[in-house]
Amino acid sequence: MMSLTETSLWDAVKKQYVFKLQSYANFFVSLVIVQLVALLFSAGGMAGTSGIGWNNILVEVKLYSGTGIFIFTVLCTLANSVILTLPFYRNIDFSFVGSRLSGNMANIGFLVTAGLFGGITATLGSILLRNIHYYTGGGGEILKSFFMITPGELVTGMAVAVLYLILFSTAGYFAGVVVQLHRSLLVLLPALIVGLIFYEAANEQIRIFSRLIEFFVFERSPFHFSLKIILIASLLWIGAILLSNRKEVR
Amino acid sequence: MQLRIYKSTLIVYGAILLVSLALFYLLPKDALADVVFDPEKMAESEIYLEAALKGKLDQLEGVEIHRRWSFDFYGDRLEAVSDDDETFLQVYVIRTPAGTGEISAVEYRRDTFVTHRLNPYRVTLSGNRLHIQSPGHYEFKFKGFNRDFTVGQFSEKEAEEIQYHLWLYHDIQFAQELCLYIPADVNIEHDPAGISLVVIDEE
Repeated sequence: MMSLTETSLWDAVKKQYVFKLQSYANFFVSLVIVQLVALLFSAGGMAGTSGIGWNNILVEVKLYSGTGIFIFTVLCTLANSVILTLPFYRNIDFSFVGSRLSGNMANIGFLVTAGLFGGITATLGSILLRNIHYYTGGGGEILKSFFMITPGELVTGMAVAVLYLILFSTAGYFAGVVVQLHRSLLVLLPALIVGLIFYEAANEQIRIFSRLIEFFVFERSPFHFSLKIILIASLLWIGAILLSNRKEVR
Repeated sequence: MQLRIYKSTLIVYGAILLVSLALFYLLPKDALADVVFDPEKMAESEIYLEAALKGKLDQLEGVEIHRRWSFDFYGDRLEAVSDDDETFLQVYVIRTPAGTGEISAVEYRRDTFVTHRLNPYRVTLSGNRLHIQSPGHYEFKFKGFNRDFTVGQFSEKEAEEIQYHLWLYHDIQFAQELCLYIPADVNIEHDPAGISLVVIDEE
């Protein structure tokens, strides 16, 4: 007598997601390490110096910013999302009762969680940077303007960071899936991107990357910004799922 | 075992960030350098400069007399000398009516974040030599924070670059100025290498 247990897609995704959270915990730890390194660099002052003088008075301002921590977090998240598409990590999904679809959805869930973690910790890292300077350097030396971040701004910053990280991780995941289609793409895709950057730098009328960046960075409406990211991330996810489904079974 | 280490790392890191967050909002805000940046006030720099070139600094709101020196002088030649070889001086000279027999020096100050940290000028007259002792060279170093990229995503103000150096320029400009009031019939001499005299003629 045979017994068939039907596993729903949602159950399969849940199991794989929980497994990945535990097995890939090193991704989160690597994010922590990268943020601490970024904090170290940011504490030294990565934003430059500005100075001005009048007669016998000279004023110099050394500039600091938490943006460096966010940028390092983006790079780490991007790298991790590409790594997730490598054969070693992809083949782990075959240990589970499921499909490529459930595996991909679990990966997406993992990347969204990593984005949440990264966005919140990167923003709080900026607060930690301010505290380091305040408690070690003397509060009297720190200019008040832009040192304080209101709770509302903090929450906004976190939300924006999370959304950007989701976008970058999705883009990295999609690029990783594309590269897995054919080995030559491993070289062709980066070459295409780098070539495009150089071409744009040499030709002022070509502004593909600039327009892409402005599309997100200059968006001042929270609703439109969120919509843009969610839509584009969704399209990239769907594209990644469809492309990976085209690959032969193991 | 490894998973336990990872979990501990993440918990410790999270705890550090949360404690940092609590500390950040508890620290006293008056411990920071209270320099309020108002980009609109940069336009006032033009007003101060124009007033200085017309010898009318004393007529501006916010500019006050910090010290005044008066000397009797009946000669026709005055040598202005800086007693400080290391600091280059710029002094405004306002011509007063001829034959008054009086030379005066006035130190004007404007209330800015640097004003209370400044030493005064010292002016003495010895024969026909007017000795000006500079308050010294001041160097103020500050730490400034740029608004984080993600925090400023929806802020219209972030479209403009934070220009600390321009904002601070407004605060140090004309914070301390020395004006000499010298009769029109007195010839003034000075060494341009040590002291710059901006002469404003009597209207």
